[in-house]
Amino acid sequence: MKKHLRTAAAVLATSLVLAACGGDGDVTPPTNPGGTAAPTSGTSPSTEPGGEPGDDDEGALVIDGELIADAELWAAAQEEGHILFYGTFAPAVTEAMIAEFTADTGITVEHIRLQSPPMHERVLSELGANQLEADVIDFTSISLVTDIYENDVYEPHRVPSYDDLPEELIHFDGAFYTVSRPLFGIAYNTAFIDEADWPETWEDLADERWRGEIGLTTIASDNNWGKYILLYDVFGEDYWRRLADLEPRFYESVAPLSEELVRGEITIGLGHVGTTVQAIKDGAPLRIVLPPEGIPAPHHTAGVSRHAKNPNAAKVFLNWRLSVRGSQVFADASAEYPSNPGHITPDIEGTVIPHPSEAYVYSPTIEDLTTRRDELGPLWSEIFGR
Amino acid sequence: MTTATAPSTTNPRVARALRLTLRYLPLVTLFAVLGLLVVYPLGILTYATITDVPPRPGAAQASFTLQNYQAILQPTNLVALRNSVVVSLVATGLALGIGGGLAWLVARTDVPLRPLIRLAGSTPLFIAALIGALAWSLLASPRSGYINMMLRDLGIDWVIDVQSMWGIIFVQALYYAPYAFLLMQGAFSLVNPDFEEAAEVHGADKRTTMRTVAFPLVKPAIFGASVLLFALIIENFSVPQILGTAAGIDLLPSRIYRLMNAAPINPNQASVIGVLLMAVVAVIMYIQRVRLSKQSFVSVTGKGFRPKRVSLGPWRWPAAIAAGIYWLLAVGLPAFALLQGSMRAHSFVPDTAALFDLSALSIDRFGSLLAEPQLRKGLNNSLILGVATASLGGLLYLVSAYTTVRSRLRGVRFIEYLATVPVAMPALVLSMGILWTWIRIPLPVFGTVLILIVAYTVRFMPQGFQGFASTIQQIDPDLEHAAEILGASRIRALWTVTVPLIRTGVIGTSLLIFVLSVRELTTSIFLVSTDSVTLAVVLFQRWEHGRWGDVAAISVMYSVLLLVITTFANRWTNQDRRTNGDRSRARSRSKEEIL
Repeated sequence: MKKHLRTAAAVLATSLVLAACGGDGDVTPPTNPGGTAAPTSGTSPSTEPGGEPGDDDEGALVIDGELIADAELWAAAQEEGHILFYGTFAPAVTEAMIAEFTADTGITVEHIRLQSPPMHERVLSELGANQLEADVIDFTSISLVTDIYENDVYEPHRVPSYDDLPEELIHFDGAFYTVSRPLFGIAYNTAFIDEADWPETWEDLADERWRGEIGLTTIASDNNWGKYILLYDVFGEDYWRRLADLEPRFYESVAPLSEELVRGEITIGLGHVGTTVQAIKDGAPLRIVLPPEGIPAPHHTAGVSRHAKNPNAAKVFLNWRLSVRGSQVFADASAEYPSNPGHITPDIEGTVIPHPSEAYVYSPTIEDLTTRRDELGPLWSEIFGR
Repeated sequence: MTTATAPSTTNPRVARALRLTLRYLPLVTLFAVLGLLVVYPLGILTYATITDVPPRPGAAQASFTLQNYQAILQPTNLVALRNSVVVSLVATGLALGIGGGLAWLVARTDVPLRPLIRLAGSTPLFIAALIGALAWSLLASPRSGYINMMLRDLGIDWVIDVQSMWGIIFVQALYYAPYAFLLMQGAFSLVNPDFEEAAEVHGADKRTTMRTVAFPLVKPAIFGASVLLFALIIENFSVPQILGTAAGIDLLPSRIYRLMNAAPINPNQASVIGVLLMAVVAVIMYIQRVRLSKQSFVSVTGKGFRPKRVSLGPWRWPAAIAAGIYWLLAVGLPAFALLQGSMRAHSFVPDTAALFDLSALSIDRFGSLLAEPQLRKGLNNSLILGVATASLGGLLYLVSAYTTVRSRLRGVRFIEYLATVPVAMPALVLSMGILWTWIRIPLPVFGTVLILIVAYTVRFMPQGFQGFASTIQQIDPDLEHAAEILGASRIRALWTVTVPLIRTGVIGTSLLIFVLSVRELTTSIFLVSTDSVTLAVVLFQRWEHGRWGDVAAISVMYSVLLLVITTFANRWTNQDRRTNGDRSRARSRSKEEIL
């Protein structure tokens, strides 16, 4: 466990140093003698690599025995040396990832960050004005990314780890991929709740003892809606009614909920692993449990743009992102699920994060967020009065 | 055509056309600039209200529909509208009372500690409403708020709950009062006491003089400030978002937020709310114009005057103390909360004693934040943007205000509407209109820092215009005319006569624009690129990710930075005012000698 925490700290520290250089675009490329990439980091896991390097990997990018880019792609990517990345995920985690990617490859990343809905608008506007210059575009909303896909923005690309990835995380034959999944569970404040009362299941959350103590999120964003769909599917409409009956306080997103949870304005609520784990690392008296009945884990997707100015470097970025190496970096930085099952889930004190292969992980589908939302959204509003 | 191109001084028609062109050229240019900055983006948004797809470039053929209006005018939204109007009206009244009161104390009374009271009126401006709301949520959330914790530990059975309708009104009044202060301070200091003396000579007591003479003279400033405040408050989204959501208080901005955060966003319906708010503001402005149009508010004429101060008598110290209490509520206590937040590893505080346990506090966060290149870049950009908007935007506002007040040409009145209505357009929606506008224009603006200067210039036009206009309104145009008769050009007359007289107002308004630009968040989030990231955007991203300690620390840095800058600027204007004061004293002396 210590090792992983150290790794995360190192990732963050490197990110700061590299961001310092990255801002001015003068990062020194790592030493890759003769173009043959050598492992540049000792932090990678010892699991089965996704793409097995073959005999013809002369000049290819291979990290810890895992093929990231073949010789041709790698040469072209190095030539480009840079990508413009439109990101929608938590900035701190993304910056930490970018720093490691740049350390591994020497490719610098310009990161423009917006939330998914305004990103969607910006991408479509830039597309319409022929000004879309992003190389990689990510979304944390499966409905918005699908709309972007339908506008023919993504260039299908087969990553080396393609065959290792769970099928439901590959979309439209590789037009875009789920690169990671943020996790939601029950977060609670241990300064106010005795150990005997610590919740373990979703059933526990709907208990009468939390009356007036509980914080929930509204359904404005896709990800917040996804949690309610899981609860509806597992427990039925009655569960919604029981939650609503507990006089919950509502928040538009997990950040303000988490802040009031730390302070004790509420003592329990629908929590987000990344935010909660960060608060735990800061020393806040929080815990989060991922209930066995199901873990809401919406898709966070990325794909290479058809209009990319640096298509090769962009493909290397996506390959790396979905490799065991990239997945481990993500898991260590965020404690959430990367897509490549070859990663090891980090050990966070007091928080058990089951490997995705061992848990019921529920990622809302496009139907959940469109037709079912139209159908069930009014019922939610009626029940919760929002 | 040929006659027009051939310059002929003998042809009276050509000469007349030339004269007219020259006469109207500045106005046409001004309209063109305002057209591009204001009319086009607002036009796109208005168009969006009656179509079924967002009017972005390359969008599918839109069909016309009234569906957006029907969707917005449903009962739940009308409740939100009613709540919003009530909250905004009350908060506007309070903010006007606080800000106007402080402005009057500073400009026209013998209140003690005047420089400190001036600071009390202006320093809360350094704390954005978002930060103020966060700080007050730390101070007075019903369970965990520091104040409530102290009351509980003292055994007092009171709960001050800022997460309520009154809490929202209170925090908005606190942080919008400085606008009223800045907009009205200039106007109060330009009221010529001769009028008041005249009233008193004719037997009016102080109160009657104030009611019938002093206040009516600053009516345009009060009306202007109140329209502006109302529109700013009704549009403000961060305070209800932070203090109202958990308590279930539904206001219009929350509706807009949801429309703009739905997947996909619904800019068409969000625009409807913006357009309706613009219409409300335009109607209020029209009524105000009709009511004020037949009066003159000129009070600075060729005759010199020394601003006379009203004696408060026994109310001198109570007035100063009231100002101090306002400062404590708007700055002192929130600063305490922010410092606590920035120096703690996390925001859990078990009891009052822990609040003062120094071992839990550390200033390390400031060091590590300052070492972050992104933060330094954001800081740098924010300062550049502040200066650029205050100077470039400021010039535009000044020219617009001057033209509106002075020019007798047809159509100038329309400028006032153009310059004021953007205030009602919610910034989230406005940024969309600006995006759609500038992405079509084949100039290298979008994607650079220039788009932010454009966005800020549009967003703060109402504040800037109002600030300049209410000052210029009080200067007798005859002063300039006199200079022109004596042979000065229009520009020279303006520069040597009007500019020195309106200097305090101009510098005050420019500082306001600077501070607002340095603080600006909502449009920035949407329009930044990596190289143009601003400090506010860095702050917002930390907030969004639940990094409250960083948010508090950045807010503290912000406040210190703005405090230092404005203190220097204030000192500079005060020196300036002293020299002006000497001049006006000299004038008064000569007047006395003549008498």
